[in-house]
Amino acid sequence: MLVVGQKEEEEGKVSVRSRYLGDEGMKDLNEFIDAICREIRTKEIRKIEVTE
Amino acid sequence: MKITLKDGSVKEYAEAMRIIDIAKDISEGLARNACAAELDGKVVDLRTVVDGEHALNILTFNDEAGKAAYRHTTSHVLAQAVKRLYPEAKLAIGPSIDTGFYYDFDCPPFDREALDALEKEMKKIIKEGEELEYFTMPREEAIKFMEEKEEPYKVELIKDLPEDSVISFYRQGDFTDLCAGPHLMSTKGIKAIKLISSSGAYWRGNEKNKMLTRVYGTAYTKNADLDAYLEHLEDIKKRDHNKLGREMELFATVDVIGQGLPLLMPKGAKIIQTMQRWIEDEEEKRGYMRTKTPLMAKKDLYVISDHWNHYKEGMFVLGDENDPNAEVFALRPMTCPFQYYVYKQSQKSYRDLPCRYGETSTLFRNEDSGEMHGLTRVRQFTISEGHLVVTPEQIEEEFYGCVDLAKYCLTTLGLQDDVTYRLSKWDPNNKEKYLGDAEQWDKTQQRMREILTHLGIDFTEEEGEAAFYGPKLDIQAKNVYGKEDTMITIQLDFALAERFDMFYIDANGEKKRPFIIHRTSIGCYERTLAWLIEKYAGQFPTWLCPEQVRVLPISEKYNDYAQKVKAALSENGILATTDERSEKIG
Ligand SMILES: [Zn+2]
Ligand SMILES: [Zn+2]
Repeated sequence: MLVVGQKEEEEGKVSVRSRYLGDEGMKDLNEFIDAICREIRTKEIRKIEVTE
Repeated sequence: MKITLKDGSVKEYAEAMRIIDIAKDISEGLARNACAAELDGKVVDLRTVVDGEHALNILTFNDEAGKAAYRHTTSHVLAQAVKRLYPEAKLAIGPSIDTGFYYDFDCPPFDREALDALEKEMKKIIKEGEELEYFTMPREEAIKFMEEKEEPYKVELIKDLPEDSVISFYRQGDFTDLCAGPHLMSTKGIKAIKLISSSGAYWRGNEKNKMLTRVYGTAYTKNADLDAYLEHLEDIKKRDHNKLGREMELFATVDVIGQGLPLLMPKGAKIIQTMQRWIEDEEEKRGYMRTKTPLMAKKDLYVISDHWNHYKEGMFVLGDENDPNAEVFALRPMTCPFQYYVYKQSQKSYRDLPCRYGETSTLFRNEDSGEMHGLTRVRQFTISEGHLVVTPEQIEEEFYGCVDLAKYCLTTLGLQDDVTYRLSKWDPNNKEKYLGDAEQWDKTQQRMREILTHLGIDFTEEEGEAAFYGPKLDIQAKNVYGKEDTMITIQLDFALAERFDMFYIDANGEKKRPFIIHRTSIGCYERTLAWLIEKYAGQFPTWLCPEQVRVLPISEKYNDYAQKVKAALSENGILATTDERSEKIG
């Protein structure tokens, strides 16, 4: 899940909440895209490390 | 008398003794926990009187056979409770099973309230702590005994036994059951019990017989173990694909469409599409050629393939078979003969082989509607099917390639540790069910055995599970309830190339019969989806998620930016949505 508000819009960022790590903090949108594209391409099976 | 125990120690006694008394002599604790025993490798009752020289192992709940005796005794307690509360109920059978026990009764079904009442009565019986008493009767007398008790199912069971049999019974207080044992010494040995559910089951598992009421239960020696098992059952229920898959809107079934004909909803269809694209690309990398062949054919095709003889009741037949002027078709139950005709479109030389054909193939199988279940027992499904036409010299390498592809698919999905391998052989006592002769079968089975051993694969062997045209490697997985299903199969076929007159020209210019390998990469997609739902409890790996990213603006003001982010994600092939509810995110 990507949460976006004023700060994110101004800086071209997104706040990442994943089911694997929970709150991952603000990230550059392009960096996020690179990371998730790699995860999809390599068909990674990530461990869920948080319980929400 | 001389007894050698499992730890190698030796006990000597002056006279013959019951095993339970030997256990007491060893230790009171052991006697308390004893459930059954192993005498010279054979499971026996604790009441067995031993004399002479023997190897003895006292079994407790921690041994499989001990656990089975413990739970089987609990099933007798259940039957006793049922007879007390429902004297009209007739007793059928009540064995122990992997997860506990069941007992079948001829009586109306039980609801939860009735099960709770039975459970209470069982606890009372356990508290009464009656000894179980073993006795025997000649067959005729035993039949009379059960006739007098008005237990027709027991009478039928006894009548199935040979004339000269001695029939054994166990009695506890007011209850007697026909039983071979072994059993605990007394009902007070039972500690933690739970009746799980009640469902219908046919007498002797035959749908032509009466539907009985089956009660499932389980029993443990410790409350904590029972609680852990019940918690595990709750977790299973949450994962059950037939429940969770519907809740997640991955699939649905509709009465007016039919049983075993699930609708894949947008999210479920997306997951299957992702898998199909992946498998098709992977097969292409491994030298497969794609075909797209008809979903039905004239009856004539199935006559040649012998499906008409061996599998007709499993096919949907279109047209009136009894009208000599009608064209009769059947929906295909497999793709094999279609791909054989792809092969036969031109003459092949040994240099053209192996020919690896793959097809994302929709198939139809007419199974009993009572058997239909979620995405795993269906009448129409789509499978990553394929046939390899190979020379005899290529069998090992190509078979290896198929196993390697299957293992790659399982590993990518994270399922590699959840499967077992089974070599499915023919049934030599039922030869007319199969094509080919004993020599062909033995030779091919031996060849598969060697390949599997060479690959370092641990496998079991099972008679009577082969296809009618050859033996197969079945890759088996269990669903959340522990029920085993075949996910992937790789079959070696020595028969059908001849029936379809397929050949290739060898290096000497001579016509030769090829072998055919029938195989799937990941099996049928619906079933794989069911398996993934249960494996991941619906939390799929990102690459399989129908929704990979959700963008959430913290207020309406940022909807435009959220749309921009979503567009950038979609542009990169990421499955994204926005969630523009106006409420604030905390
Ligand atoms: Zn019994
Ligand atoms: Zn086939």
